[in-house]
Amino acid sequence: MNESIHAIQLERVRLSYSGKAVIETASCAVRKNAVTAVVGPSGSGKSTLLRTLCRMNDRVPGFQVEGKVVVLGRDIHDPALNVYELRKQVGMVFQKPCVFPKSIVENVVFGLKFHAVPNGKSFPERSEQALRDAFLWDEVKDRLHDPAHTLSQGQQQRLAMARTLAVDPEILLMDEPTSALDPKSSKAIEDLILSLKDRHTIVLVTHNVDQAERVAEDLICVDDKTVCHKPCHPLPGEGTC
Amino acid sequence: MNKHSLFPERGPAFWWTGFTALIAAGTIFILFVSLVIESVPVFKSQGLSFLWGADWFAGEAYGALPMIFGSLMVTGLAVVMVLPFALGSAILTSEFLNGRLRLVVKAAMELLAGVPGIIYGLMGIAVLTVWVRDVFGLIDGNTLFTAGLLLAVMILPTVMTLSEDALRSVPGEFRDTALSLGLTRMEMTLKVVVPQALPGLAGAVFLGLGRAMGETIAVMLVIGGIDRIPQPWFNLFAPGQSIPSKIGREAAEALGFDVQWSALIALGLVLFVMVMTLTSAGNLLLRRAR
Amino acid sequence: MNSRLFKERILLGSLYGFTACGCLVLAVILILVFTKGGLAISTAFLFEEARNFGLEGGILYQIAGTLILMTGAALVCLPVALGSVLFQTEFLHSPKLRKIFRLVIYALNAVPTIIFGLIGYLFFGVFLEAGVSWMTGVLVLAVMILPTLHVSIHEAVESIPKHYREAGLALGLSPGQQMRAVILPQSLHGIVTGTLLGLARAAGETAAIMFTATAFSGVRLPQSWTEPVTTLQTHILVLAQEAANPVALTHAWGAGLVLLTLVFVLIAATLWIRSGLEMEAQR
Repeated sequence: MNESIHAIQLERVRLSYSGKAVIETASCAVRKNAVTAVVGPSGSGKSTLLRTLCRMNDRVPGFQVEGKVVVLGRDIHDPALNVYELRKQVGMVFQKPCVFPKSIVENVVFGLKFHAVPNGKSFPERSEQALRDAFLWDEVKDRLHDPAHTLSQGQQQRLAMARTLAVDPEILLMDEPTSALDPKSSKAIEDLILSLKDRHTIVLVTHNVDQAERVAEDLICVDDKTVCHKPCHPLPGEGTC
Repeated sequence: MNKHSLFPERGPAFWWTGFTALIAAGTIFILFVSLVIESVPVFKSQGLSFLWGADWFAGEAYGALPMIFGSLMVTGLAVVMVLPFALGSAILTSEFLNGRLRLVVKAAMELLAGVPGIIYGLMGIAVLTVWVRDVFGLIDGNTLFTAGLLLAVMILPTVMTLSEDALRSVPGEFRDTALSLGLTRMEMTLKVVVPQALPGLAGAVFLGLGRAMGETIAVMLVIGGIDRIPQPWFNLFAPGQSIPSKIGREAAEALGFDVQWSALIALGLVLFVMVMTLTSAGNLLLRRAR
Repeated sequence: MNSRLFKERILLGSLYGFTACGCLVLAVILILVFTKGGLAISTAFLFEEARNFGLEGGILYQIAGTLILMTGAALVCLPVALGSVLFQTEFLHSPKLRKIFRLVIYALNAVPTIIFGLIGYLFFGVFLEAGVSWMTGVLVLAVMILPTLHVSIHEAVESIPKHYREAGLALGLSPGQQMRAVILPQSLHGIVTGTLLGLARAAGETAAIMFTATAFSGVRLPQSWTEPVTTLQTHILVLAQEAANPVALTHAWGAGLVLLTLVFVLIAATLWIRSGLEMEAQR
């Protein structure tokens, strides 16, 4: 495999909770600057797989990863790796919009504050850019200091995106980002995903196959504890798992 | 359907459990009403100056101020001293420990919570007063400070356990989000979890205050038992008196219907009102946190 | 970045420090009580009557008094706590009334124990003419431990899975039959742990009984309802006030050792039962 075109590579990865396998074997790769959708029935371990990519399951009791996970050219389970730097490069957006009980702009710079030097400034340009990137700027530019929970669910999810984008990650992991939203907000998020793929590598977990077809170039299929590639528009005679 | 709709089934089980429930719920009102009625004589003889009178001589004058002052002082002192330990161990247990070590800390706290007050009192009188006397170069180790220190140890499990509950009730999504933005665990804890749990933590502190204020036996043995506000008032290394300690010392000799008994009941009423205020505030905050 | 991780280490280290101090307190208590109390313990100390104001002899009747008061209190309290929980969960359907009931129980839990002593003496000692007696002590302690039992039993009843209840209702059980057939058996662990915790709380209480139920010397087993007893708690209290006398202090530590062992056995039993349940739930 060519290192330069892949952002994430999994080699014979087995994920288990207290010995019970969630994913028996996963070998696949994610292309840079493309949208890859991870699909599969609920409870099949999609989210577990996604969370593994930025080591969010580190402290889950009994969770174990075997095999090799390479993200941006580095084995993420290398003991010398700084996991906080990894998570800075690999951002994640969750299913339920989660905003902190602070103002809108404080939410945007929340992660940035910890990574930037000098610490603790408000970064007006960076937050404006992040909000513009998340298609939220026009809706909130006049009330940046309002509490974030006054936003609608769809706006909150875009705020969560802006917060992640402000840290400037290379890879964006999204765990069913539209499943808690109404169709209109979902559409906004899908447009957003398409606009981001030039600059970011995006991995999107979704249970909605139509959505996967709309936004993704590549498809990864999780079923029956195995993970495999699937061309997005299968040609006759190939592409089944 | 109309007036019976509240309790539709009225068999013997209803009447039996209803009777016991009435006892359980009625007790608190009986306590309050009895305190009010029995404290009437002292307010008749002293007027409201009972509350701010500074002198207490059985048979002559009854002033509650030194006791109220002493109670506030030792309680405040206890909370200030316990805070770093209770919050520190609550944060560690809730956010950083898991599995066996967490169980060990929790079990230690439950055992600590069960140590009888009289054992603390015995340790206070036999060890702590001597230690305070020698370390701070005092003539007598029975001081407000000693009582505050002992109370701090006694309320540690209460404040710690309730704080830990408050921290753990912060939803996991907030932790996930903070970590996914590249925060360290400590940054996540201090900037996300603790601020979110703040009402619950405040509730824990209020309940700790309430518990400390009502503690009798251990305080009684180490506070010095002098019904006087120290000179100057912030001199922690002077002997003093708290409300429960005063009641505990004098109740046996005043048992009956004298004005002195009524004065002790009135002290009990003051204590009851203060403790109920603190714990209601604490319970309110804890409820809001959930 | 390195300074970030350094800061993390320092803060985490101090958290461990604070926690260790908390656990150290327990260790200090145990070491003090066991080393100092151990000097007093002998078969004679445990099985002889106290003589010469507690300076000679043992603590037989003190142990008996503590056991009488705590078991009496639990026996009186248990039916009341059980009944009030069942009323709250089975008959009180309005959420508002349930909430008020819970607040009342919480308030009762917060009442300083000395106030139970004061009003308990008035109510049981004077109105019911029990005087300073073991019966007054039992009743005062029963009221005092009511919230402990109530909360524990209530938790157990609330956690009974809905389908057990519905199975009982579907069989057409009356509320009384439902309680006997479904609710009591399913909440037995809460009743047991609540009672054990209540026993521990009653055994450790001094302020509520020191002027309502006990006398210091010359007391053996009560022969009637209105006689006082002597207890470990109040025995320690009196001896501790003679702290200048090393013999008195040694006897106080000895009694303290017995009391602490009693209380810790009760608490350890509840912890054991609860951890057993958790393991079962995980399976």
